[in-house]
Formats: sequence, structure tokens, C-alpha cells
Amino acid sequence: MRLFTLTRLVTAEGRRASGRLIGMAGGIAVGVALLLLLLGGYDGVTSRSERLSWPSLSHGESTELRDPAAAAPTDESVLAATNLEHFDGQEIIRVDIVATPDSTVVVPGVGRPPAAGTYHASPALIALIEANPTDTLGSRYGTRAGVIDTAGLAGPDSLVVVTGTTTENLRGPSVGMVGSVFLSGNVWSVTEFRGVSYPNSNYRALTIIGAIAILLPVLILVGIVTRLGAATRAERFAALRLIGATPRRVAAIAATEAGVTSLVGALTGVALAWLLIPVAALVEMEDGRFFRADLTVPPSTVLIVVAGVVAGCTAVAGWRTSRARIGPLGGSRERTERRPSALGVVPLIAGVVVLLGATTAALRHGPLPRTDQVLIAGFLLLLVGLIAAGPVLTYWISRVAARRAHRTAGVIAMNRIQQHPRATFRAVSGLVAAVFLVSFFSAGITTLAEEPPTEDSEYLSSSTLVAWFSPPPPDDANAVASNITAVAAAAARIARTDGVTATAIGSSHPETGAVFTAADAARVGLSNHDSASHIQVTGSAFGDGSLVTRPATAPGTTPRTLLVATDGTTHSVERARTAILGSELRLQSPTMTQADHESARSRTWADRYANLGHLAVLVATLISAVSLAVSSIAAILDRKRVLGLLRLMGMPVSTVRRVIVAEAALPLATVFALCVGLGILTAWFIVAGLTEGRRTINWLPPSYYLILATSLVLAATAVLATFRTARTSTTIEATRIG
Amino acid sequence: MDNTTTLLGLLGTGASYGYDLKSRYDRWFGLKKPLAFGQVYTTLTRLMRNGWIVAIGAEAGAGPERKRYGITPAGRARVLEWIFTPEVPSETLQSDLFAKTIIALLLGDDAGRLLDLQRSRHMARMRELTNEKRGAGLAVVLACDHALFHIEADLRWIDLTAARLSQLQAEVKK
Amino acid sequence: MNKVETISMSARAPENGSAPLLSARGLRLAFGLTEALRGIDLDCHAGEIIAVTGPSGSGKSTLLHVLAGVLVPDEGTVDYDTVRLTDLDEAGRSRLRLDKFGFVFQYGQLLPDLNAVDNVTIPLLLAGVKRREARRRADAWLDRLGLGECSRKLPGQLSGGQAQRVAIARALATKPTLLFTDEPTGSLDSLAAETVMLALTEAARDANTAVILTTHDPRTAAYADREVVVRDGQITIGGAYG
Repeated sequence: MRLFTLTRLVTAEGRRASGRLIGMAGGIAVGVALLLLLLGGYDGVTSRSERLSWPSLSHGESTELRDPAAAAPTDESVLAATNLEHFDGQEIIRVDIVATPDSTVVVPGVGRPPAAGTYHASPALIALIEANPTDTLGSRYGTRAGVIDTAGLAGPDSLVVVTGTTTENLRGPSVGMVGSVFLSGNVWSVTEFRGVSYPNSNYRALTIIGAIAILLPVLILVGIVTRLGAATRAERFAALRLIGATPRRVAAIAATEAGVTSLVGALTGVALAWLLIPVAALVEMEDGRFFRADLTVPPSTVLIVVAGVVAGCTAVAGWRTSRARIGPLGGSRERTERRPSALGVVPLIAGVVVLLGATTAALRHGPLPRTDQVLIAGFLLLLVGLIAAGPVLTYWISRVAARRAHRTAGVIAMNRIQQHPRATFRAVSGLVAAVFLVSFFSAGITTLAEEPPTEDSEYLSSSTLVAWFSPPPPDDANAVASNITAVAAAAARIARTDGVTATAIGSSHPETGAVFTAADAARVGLSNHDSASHIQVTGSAFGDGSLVTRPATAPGTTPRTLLVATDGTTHSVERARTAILGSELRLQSPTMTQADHESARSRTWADRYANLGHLAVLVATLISAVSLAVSSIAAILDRKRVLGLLRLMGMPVSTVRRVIVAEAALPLATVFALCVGLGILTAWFIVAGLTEGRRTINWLPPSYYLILATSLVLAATAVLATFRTARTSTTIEATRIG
Repeated sequence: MDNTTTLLGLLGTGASYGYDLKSRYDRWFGLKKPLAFGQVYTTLTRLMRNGWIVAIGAEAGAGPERKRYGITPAGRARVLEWIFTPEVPSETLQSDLFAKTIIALLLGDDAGRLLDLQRSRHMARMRELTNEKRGAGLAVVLACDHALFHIEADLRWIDLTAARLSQLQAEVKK
Repeated sequence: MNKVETISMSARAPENGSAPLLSARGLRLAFGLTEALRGIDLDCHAGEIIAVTGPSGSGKSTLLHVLAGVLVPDEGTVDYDTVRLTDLDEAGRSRLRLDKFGFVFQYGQLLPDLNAVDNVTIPLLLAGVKRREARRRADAWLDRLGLGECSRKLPGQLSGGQAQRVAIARALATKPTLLFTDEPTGSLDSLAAETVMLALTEAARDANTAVILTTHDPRTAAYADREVVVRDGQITIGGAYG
């Protein structure tokens, strides 16, 4: 086709031109790959929720049982209870099922319910069972009958076990959350197990922020690369116009160029995304890693993305070229930019006003309707405002700096910025957006961190297991009495387990917690500051595992808790835990050590999202650093002849370097503090605005400063990377050819 | 143009009859105005009188067309002096310079050097004129410019000829 | 054939009592297989204006760059005053260029983002002059070259001749003893070329700055005290001194 031949001749000849096209295609490839991975993750988390949520038991055809002991399974229904167990700090979801031998109920990933005394486990759990002695883990479940396949698992790391049991052995279920699986604490009669595909609103919000954080720098990069060699290209277009090409023809050539380049880029991006899926599958997200299949985007979506990107690029290029009105004589002189108007700061101020207004209103008078949407709008306004205000602020500061500068490099750089505030700011705008988002994000998640433990709380040794019992019905004197003997017998058996150093039974206190004798307390390492004969321990069974001790007068009547101290090795702890779980004790909550509480805390969803967010910001920063390097090099190449001549006059190359540094540093420094400040402030506005001030943000975690420092290091590296160009492109050869 | 010395220069390449001399002259310089026979013989007579040429192997009393002429050492000296003495820049200079170049090439002498010498003479004149312009009235400046542009035209011809010298040499050798 | 020695073939200026400011001997420089300089001797005395002419590609720009210490010759020496330029390292040569030499080129030599006066201050700032003082001196130079009106204009707003005079102001602002200029009138029309050359030579003579300029324009060369013709990397005419 003539148009293609013409396009190739006009746009693809020469090293600079091909560098530009490769850069464009590369930028688009990265953008498309990231977009596909984000879409894959978005789809993946939704479809995954369907697979992983079935142990909640409440989503399928099921009824909650008031009195499990009286219930019995039929061929069409099973009794099921879900428990949370621990092994070496990891959480295991255990579904106990009571079924008839001819049960028609299908268990996800298992098929027919396992017979009593047998179990099916996820591959990760099987590996764990096989890697450890049976009495530490395997004997909790019985005989292995099979493997749970992917249809019943969240991901390759899921620790799930489905055991078959009998009605009398059906243990009391746990209440709580495992990842995003809600445990109701009830026994259910289930005719059909089913998960629910719920769109995770947290993840949706994060996807949007992540998409902006990653795609914005990519767009900026593509924009910068497109401008590379634009002068040479404009000359060629002008030459074409001179020999008679119509403006439409030239626009068509530009559009063809963009179309072909973006098609190549988009296809490369699809390939890149495909290659990156195994890498992306390593990222832990909420419920652990994904199966690779979860992250694969359906072909129709790929097709839509590719078509959309190519159509968009083609249209923009054609429109931009026809709007630029390239005349037959071209533009011989470097066009100076229009001076940025002070109106550029309006969106920024508007964003602050909107956020401030909405938050103040929420704090003073309670939430107004649609406060959340107003806050999101304010956030977007602020983000756009930062990018829009950047050139204006850069221009203002460079004007003052240009007047004040007294060194050569300062004078050259500040005047350059003053003449090209948009171009210089564009070079760092990706970093600016990334810094704003990371500040916002990091500040936002501090609100979700656990409350720090109170001063007077203390912790048991991290190798001591705490088991809380379900209290027997208090009005049944027989039950109470038999309970006491049963607990004492179980405790004695557990005490004989290998690696157990001491056990202590705490009896119930009329108000709260449990009461230990001074002797028991001393054996398991509970502090007894006042040397009282008995001490009362209150503590959070579900929280952080802290205990509060105070003197008490006398023990209660019923056993409330059992403390099992071990010699501290993992195997001893788990052997003791297996003994507790295997005993006839009726547990109210999962048996945990302080170490289990701590690792559970480190797995809070906010932290998991934080990892993802930090990853997104690092990717964004990396891309932005590339943008910065490319723009810095372009800015030097634009002036290579003049700078070469100045070097010839005796200007040291270090001055050229200082020019580069100053041109990158000024716009960055101008808005850096603003970005950090506004990011944190915005997070506070949104958190406080949405919760009417019930929550607020805390000090930022060290990881935030690490990310910030990494961004700056990347920016510095980008600038350093241009030093070579600064030296080689301003040699005597550069002065030869204009 | 100095026909006399040009003919002398042509003789410098070897003894020749008057008729041959005329046709050789016409080949290089007679494009616009061929030399008349009479003029050739009067010139030869004058050269002989100056002792720059001699008649060789002629039967005594025979007509001029029967004589061969050869150059004397004095004649050679005269030719070299002529070739390597730059002319004062003037508007009619070009043809003379051309003749010198051709003769120098025919003689196998350094034509480049003669062009260089002429170039230096031209440049010196241009410097003089440029100096005269300093602080002078507009009329003088314009007069100097006029002269400068003419000399520059010569200079450009000299440069171009110098650049094409080897090409010209090949043509002369034919 | 005996040669008639009418004019000395040496490019060296005859002795006039003082040592030359810049003295080059036996310069040779090859770029790969292309020999750009093939044994060049040249002297330049204080305050002398020398035009280096010759066809394109003859090596005149290369010669200028070697003399200015921008390029290092493969063979030969360049002495500036008592300093052997060819023995200095890059930093030393840069320093010397900054302190003692000035440069004016054909076009595109002004920083496009700096106005005229800021462009002139650049070498002064590099030499360590305070910005305020540098601007004062730069303004004085621009006034002197008839550019007082244009001092706050950007290069893009100046005509070719004006831009070239700004470049001359920049080159002379540091009071160099030797000014190198490569095709200073290359992109100018006759009148602008004349204004530029007049300004250049007058200012250089006033400051007793020697000038070595390359040009292919005889009328530009005529502003010099003498002409040196370079052909194929050799000096073919040194011209009479003075």
C-alpha cells in the first residue's frame, strides 16, 4: 500500500526516528501488559472469591443448626462445621463434614464427602503434613483419602482440609475471618456447597488507584517518547507539504505511523503480559497467591484492549498532526512555550477546597449525602490539579531562581525551565504522581493498623498455647461436674506429651477471664507481682493475645482455659496443639500461641494490600524514572550544539552535568514537598471524612520512607544515566553538524 | 593579453614552425579572435630581436614560413619571470592569467604556484580596499565595494581554476 | 626548471622582533585514513588578525581546533606564550581556553533560552565573576557593539547579524588574548557580514586581541592582516606578513 510505503519512508528512516518508534512501541507495550495484568487480577480476585468462600457454608443451600447434637445427615444433606487451626504461625481452614455413606452432596474440589476418619487436603497442606512428624500435624485429621483440586481452593498456597467425622465428634466451629473467608461459628446442614462471587470493594478502589498510579506514568512516558525526534519528523512533514501533500495526507501518514507502532506495541504488551503472569502469580494478594489461570485474561478482553489502544493512538496522532497545521515551510525556529497561566493552580485549590469542605461538614454535622463520592471527586481533582499546577509553580520558582542564580549551570538551567516549564515538569510529572499516590496510600492504610497494645498488658511466652473452653450449660450440675473431671483428665494427658513442660487450668471468674492459683501461674510463667494466692487473667481471645493479670481472691468453679507451656521447639508446640485438638475438650476458639497472634497480625489485609500498593508505586516510579532519563537526554540533545560550543570555549563537562541535575531537581523539588503533604492530608480528609472523625491516620510506616527514598534514588539514577550522554553528545563533533 | 610572451611560452615547449605556432595558439587562446599570420611573424621578429628566440636549421634567405624557431635561455627566463609575476588586479586580468596558466602547464611548470601568487596579490589589494573603507564616507565605501566585488570575482575564478588544475593539465597533455 | 623565488613559501611570519603569541610546528592529524593536517607550521603574533582560507574539507576548521587546544594533534606542537598547549591535559586546555581564548562560530551558538545579556555573561560566570558584575560588563559590551536595545531579547528574536554580534560580545567579554572564529559570516548576507566583521576587527584591535578566523569568503578574509591558505591539510600560501 502506498500509504504504508510513504509512512515508512517519512517516519522510520534514521537512528533517531527508529529510536523514537521503538520507544513509543515499548511504552505502549509496558502499558498494555500492565493493563492486562491489572484486569487479570481484577477478574481473578472475583472468580477466586467464588472458589474460596465455600467453607463459610452460608452461601450455598444450607441451614444453620440450633442444636447440632440432635441433627443427623441424610443422603441429600451433610452436617458441616468450619474451624480455624494453626500450624507454625500458618492458618489452616478445616471443614468437618458428617455425611451418610451414600451422600449425594458434592464437596468443592473433593467430590463425595470423605468418610469418617479420612480427609482430603490441599496440595500445600499435604506438603506440610508430609514434611512434619505425624504427631505434630497429620494425626489431627486421620487418614488421607485424596487431594482437594483447584476448584475448591483460593490459590496454590491455600491450606485447606476437609475431614469426615461423626455427629458426636463434630467439633464446635470457630468464629472469625480467615483471609476473606468469614467463619460464622455455627454448624450447618448443607445440601449444596457454594461460594459467592463477591466484588471486593476494597480491591476495586485499589485497582483504580493502582491503575492510575501505573498507567499515568506510562502515558507520560509515551507522551515524552513521542516528542523525541519530533523536530526531525516535523521537518520531514514540512518537506512533504512543500512537494504537494495535503494536510489530510500528512495527518494520515502520522496516524498510520502511530497505528502501526501502537499495534506492534500492543501485541508486544500482550506477549509481555503472558510472560509476566508467572511473576505476577508470585504476588500475594489478600488470600495469598493466585493460580496462573486466575490471572489470564479472556481473549475477547485482550482483543478489546489491543483494538482500543491502537484506535486511540491512531486517532490521537492524526488529530494532533492535523491540529498542529504543519505548513510547507515548517517551523524553523524553536518555538518557546506559552507562559503557563496562573489558572493552572485552580484545580489544585478546588480539590483542596472540596476535600476540606466535605470533611469539615462530615465532622461538624455528620455525613452529608454522597460524601464518599464527593471525597473521591476531590481526590481526583487534587491529582489532576497537581499535574496541572506543576508547570505554573515550576515557572514561578524558576523565575525567581533565574534571577538569583549566580553560577553558570544555574543560569542556564533556570532560564531553560523558565522558557520550557511544561516540558521540564512533564519530565518529572510521573514521579510527582507516584509520590503523591504513595503518600496518600501509605497514610491511608495506617488507620487500619491494629491498635497498639496497652501499657499494662503482658504476653505469655510465645511458645505457650492458650485454649479457651466453651462453658457448659451452667444450670446442669452434672454436666459441670463431669466437665471438671474431663478437663483435668485431658490436661493430665496433654501434660505427658513430648515437649510439654507445664500445664495450668484456669477456672472461670464471675466477671471475666480466668483465675489461676499462684503455683500454676508460676509454672506457666504468668507474673504475680503482688504475690497473691490467686491471680485473675483477662485477655483477648481473638485479638492480639495480650493478657492482663491482677490479684484475685479465689478460683471459680468451672474450667475456663488451659495454658500449655512447651520447650519452645516448633515440633513440641505443634505436638501439644495436636494433642489439645485431638482431646475431647470443647474449644471456644482456635488454640493459639502468642507467635500465632503475631503472624496473624502481620497478615492483616491492609498489609497485604500495602505490598501490592508498594509494588505498584515502585513500578510507576521505575517507569517515571525512565521518563525522566529520556527527557533529560532529549533536553541535552536539543542543545547539544550550543553546549558543545560552550565546552569548546572551556566550560567543564561538570557544568553540563549540573545543568541536567538542576533541570530535573527544580521541578521535582518544587512539588515534592507539596505532593507528600497533600498526599497525607488527602488521606486524612478521606479517612476522617468517611468515618466522621472516628478514625484518623497515624505516623507513616518505615516502608513509606523506604519507598520515598527508593523513588529519589531511582530519579537520581535516571539523572546519572544521562551524564554519559551529556559528555559524549557535547564533544567537538556535536558542533560540526547543526 | 600579452600575445608576445604567450607565443614565446608556446615556443618554450619545443622548436616550431610559424604555422604550427599559430594553430597551437589558436587552439588555446584563439577562440574569440584567432591570431593573424602577419601578427605572428611580426611578433617572432620582435622576439628574435630581443634575443629570446633563434631561427634553427633554416635555409638562408628563405621566407619566414620556412623557418623553425627555438627558444634561448634568455627567452626561458623571460617566460618564467612573466608567469610568476602576479598582475595588478584589473578587470581585464582574466585572459592573461588564463594564458599564463596554460603556458605553465604546457611547460610542465607549477601552475598552482602562479595562481597562488596571483591570489596573494588579489588578497593584498582587497585588504587595502577594506582598510580604505574604515571610517570613510559612504561614496568611498561604495566605490571600494565595487572594486572589491570585481576582485572577488577574479579570486573566485582563481580558486576554481586552482581546484580544477589537474583536470586542465590532463587536457593540455592531450 | 628553476624556480623564481618571488615570495617566501613559509607560513611563518618574518621576525618582527617579538616572539609569537601562538606558534604551531609540524602539526599532523588524521581521522582514520583521512589526513586532515599534513605538517603545518603557523605563527600568530599578539594583536594579529589571520584569515585561514581554503576549499571545504581542506582542514581549516581542524587546524583552528588544534590551535585552540580543542583537538590534540597526532604530531607536532602548539605553544601559547610560554605554555606548550599540546602537553596539557584536557582540564588544563579547558582552563586555558576559558582564560585566554575567545570563540565565535557560524550560527546556533547562543543558548536559546537565555536572553542576549545572559548569554554574554556565561563565560564570565565560568571564570568566576559575580553575576551582578558579569551582567554589568555584558551590558557594556552589548552597548559597544550597538546592541543596547536587544540586551533583553532571546536569541530567537534577534536577526542573524545581531546574534553574531552577541556572540562576539560573549567571546570578547573575558578579554581574551586570542580569538578563534570559525566561519563568522557563514550564514549572513553581505551587509550583515560586513557589520559583523567590522565590529569584530575593531573590537579586537582595540583590545589588542589576536584573531584567527576561518572563512571561504574573500571579503571576510580581507579584514585580516594576512591570509593563510590551506589545501589538502597543508598551507599553500602564507601570505606576506602585515
